[in-house]
Formats: sequence, structure tokens, C-alpha cells
Amino acid sequence: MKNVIEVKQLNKSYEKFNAIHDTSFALQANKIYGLLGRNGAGKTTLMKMITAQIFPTSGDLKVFGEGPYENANVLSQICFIKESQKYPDHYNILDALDVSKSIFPNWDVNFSRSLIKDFNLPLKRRIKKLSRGMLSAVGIVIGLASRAPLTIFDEPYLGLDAVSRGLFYDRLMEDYVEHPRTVILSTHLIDEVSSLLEHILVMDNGKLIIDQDAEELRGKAFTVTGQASKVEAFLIGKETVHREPFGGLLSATVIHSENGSDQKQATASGLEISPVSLQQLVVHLTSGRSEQKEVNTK
Amino acid sequence: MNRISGVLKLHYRDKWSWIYIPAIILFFSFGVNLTVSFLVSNQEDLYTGGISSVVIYIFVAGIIVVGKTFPFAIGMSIRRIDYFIGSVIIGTISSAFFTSLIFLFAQLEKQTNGWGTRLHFFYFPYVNDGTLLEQFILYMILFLNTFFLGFLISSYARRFGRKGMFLGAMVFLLIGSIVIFLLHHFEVWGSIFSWFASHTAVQIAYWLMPFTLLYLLGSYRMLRRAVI
Repeated sequence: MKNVIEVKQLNKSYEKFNAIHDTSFALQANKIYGLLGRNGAGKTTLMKMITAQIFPTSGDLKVFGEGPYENANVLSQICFIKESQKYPDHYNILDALDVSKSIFPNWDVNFSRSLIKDFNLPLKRRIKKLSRGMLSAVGIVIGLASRAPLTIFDEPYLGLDAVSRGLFYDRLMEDYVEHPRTVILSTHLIDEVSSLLEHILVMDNGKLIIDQDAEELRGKAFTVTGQASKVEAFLIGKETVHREPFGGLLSATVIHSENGSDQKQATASGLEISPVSLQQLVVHLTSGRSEQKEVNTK
Repeated sequence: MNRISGVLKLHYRDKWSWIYIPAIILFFSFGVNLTVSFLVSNQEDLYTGGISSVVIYIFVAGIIVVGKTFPFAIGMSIRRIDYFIGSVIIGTISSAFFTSLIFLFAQLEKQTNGWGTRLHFFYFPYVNDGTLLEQFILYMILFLNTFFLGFLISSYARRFGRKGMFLGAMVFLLIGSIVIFLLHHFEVWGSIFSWFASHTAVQIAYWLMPFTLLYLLGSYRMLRRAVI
């Protein structure tokens, strides 16, 4: 299958600061990707390079098989909604939608209207006067209705209430099923979206530390809890991402080993096993306290 | 092509900035001057510089346009070249609109002998000495040159940011001072003035054309490498 995005040894540095460091990955068509990581991990920088808003310092970057910079073929297929998207001062919501309509070839007017209704957006109100949540909703409407083959949402829900966020996830899924496309969702609210995501990319300090199928990743780690001595004994020779002592007990998050006999072994030694959520795993992996930073992604 | 029309639409959504506000400025200034000309005696001609308000407005419009619309356009995955071409077209349309307006009112003013009050708001000796076509070309070049000078400044600001603007202004002032000093030192002011005096208004306007072209090339070069 042809890759939508191919990135090889991509670097972006600002004077003394390395925003993106030697990053390589490939994204396939018609999947929903989650790009996760802490603030300042380099997520937005990466997405801005993919959409040719900023330029890489070095490395190879192909979107739809071509370089994105000044490339009409590529750019016309991309819709990138970022949290800090600027609109001209005098624009009202209708202006922004009308202009988007003439820019994005796959724009669906009816879909945009129904989204406007869903999110209760006042068409005639100036974008400058909108609340943070409404501003985010405008971006979401443009991102969804553009039906761009590559749609990127960077923290799209800032200020959005839980109901609207739920609405966003629902509409995204419904429309994705009917009109499959590649979606990249960059977010902090990992648990909320974890059921949508098919593939996870995690960035930390400008490096890609995880690039893995969501299912695989979820099954990759588990938490064991029990008496500290027993847990310590269990942990010998295993990849531990996080350990948290409380009293005489120790709780540790462990990466599954290849043969998969870990859980049996743990139960045998009287330890309690619980699944680790995607959010917890990502937090562990990017908290800087993790003992093993790089997860072996085979 | 499709994308350029998107950029045109993007700009045209702001009819206030491109049409209404400058038209209001122009006619407000005209109204004030006309009133004044009614109040003062009609024995002699009344000359005003009210028309320069529109030229200044177009200059400012050029200065602010990139800051206002470039981040949105690039954010909507428009190519830089399409943004540039679209903006050049809209600037040209706006210039043509005001050129036509001024041209028409200049002819009216001439026919009515200064609106019956000997007011010179649109029609001036020297400036309007040439043929009708030359009068039109003169204003067109003036507006385009002014707009694209503003556009160059705003493209430069987008490309190099605040520090770059500061540095640019310093260098510009420095070079300007040196040039003026040299002109003074070698006493060439007289020949400069006589050069201007020996040329018609439209001939001088023609001399602005290569500069306008340079502004355009410079703007494009900078926008090509501008980020958001």
C-alpha cells in the first residue's frame, strides 16, 4: 500500500534548540493516527513541516509521494487545523466557511451546515469575538467538512466542553466510515480518543519514541502490584517503565516480554495484574522518570 | 488556478478594507474641501492635497495585508505563489478601481470648472497635463507602486520578524543618510530638481515602473521563505 506520509531522518533546529531530532516514520492511507506527547515534544513542529508551513533543517519528507513545499498536488489534499489557527480580523464564521469551500476540493456544504447546527455556531458572529470553545469548533467544522485525504487536527478541542468533544469524535467516526481518509489527531486527552486511534505515534523531546499499532501497544504493558520484595524479584530481567512504591507495596508497569509468560509468572508469585491504559503508558513513557526511554518497537 | 480564486475570495471577503474605507476617506476629504471652497471666496483657484489620503491609505493597506491574511492562507494549505499572485491581482484591481474613480472625477471637475467653486481636488495642472490615457496611466502606476511598496514592507516583516524590521529600518536610514550626504557633498541637488522639472508627470511615473517590479520580485522572494 502506498504511504501517505514518508519521513526519513527529519531534523528541525532553531539556533541552539533541536525541535525535531532524526525522526523517521511512514503513515498509511485511510487510517486514524494519534500523535501523542507532552507540550513542546515537537508535535506541532512536525505537523507544520508536513504541511510546508515551516521548513525542515534536514532530512527527507514526502507527502503523497512528493515534497509538500509549494506543491499544489499535495497541498490541495491536506487540511491542517491547528489550535493556533489565525483568521483575518474582520471574518465572521460564514466568511471562513465560504473561503474554505473555495479552497478545499472535496468540501461538502451540507455536511458543514449540519456541523454548524451540531455545534450551535452563530454564522454571523465575528471570529474575533468567539469564545475559545467556539473558535475550536469552527476549526473542527472546517477540518471535517473539507474531507481532505489527509486531515490533521492539532489539539482541536481547546476550550470545548465534554459534550462538544463527544460530538466531534462521533462526527469524525461517522464521516470517516463513509469517506475514509488519513486522519492525524494530536491530543493530550488520550483516554478520550484512544478508542478512535488505530495507530499511535508518541513523541518526546523531539524524538519519535513509539510508532505502533494501537492494539499492540495497549497489550504491550501491564501493571503488577504486590509486596515490594516479590515485585522486585519478578522485575528482574524485565523491561520496567515505571515503578511506584507505597508502604510495603510496589506497583510497577512492565513491558511484555516476547514469549508472553510474564502474566502467568506474576500470578504464580501472588502479584496482582491490571491493564495499563494508553494514557498511563504514554505518561510513563514520556514523564522523563522512566527507566527505559526507548521502547523496542521491533 | 482554482487556488488563486480561493485567495481572491479570501481577500474580497474584506470589501471594507479594499473598497469602502478608502472610498469613504476619499469622499469625506472631498466633501470637506468642497464645503471649504464654498465658504471661501471664489476669486482664485483653491488647491488641495486631499487626494493623497487615498494614496496613503493604499500604502497602509499594502503594509497590513500580509499580516492579516498570510497566516490564514498558509494555514488553509494555500501555496505561497498562489497567495502572492492572488494578492497582486487584488491590489491591482483595487488600484484600477481608485484610478478610474479619480480619473472620472477629474474629468467632471474639469468640465464643471472646479465644481463651480474653482476647487482643484482631482484635477491639477502639471499632473493632469497629459492625454487622457496618460492621466489614467499616471495614477495607475502611482497606486501600484505605493501598494506594492507597502506589500514589500509587510512581506519583509513576515519573513524576518521584529528583529529583521528593526535591522532593516536601521540599514535603510543609514544608506539614506549616506546618499543624502553624498548628494549634498557633490552638489547635485540642482541637477536633480531640473531633471524633474524637465520631465512631464507621466514620464516621471514611468520611472516608477522598474521600482514597482523590484518590489514585486522582492516580496515574492521573501514570501517564498516566510513561515507561520
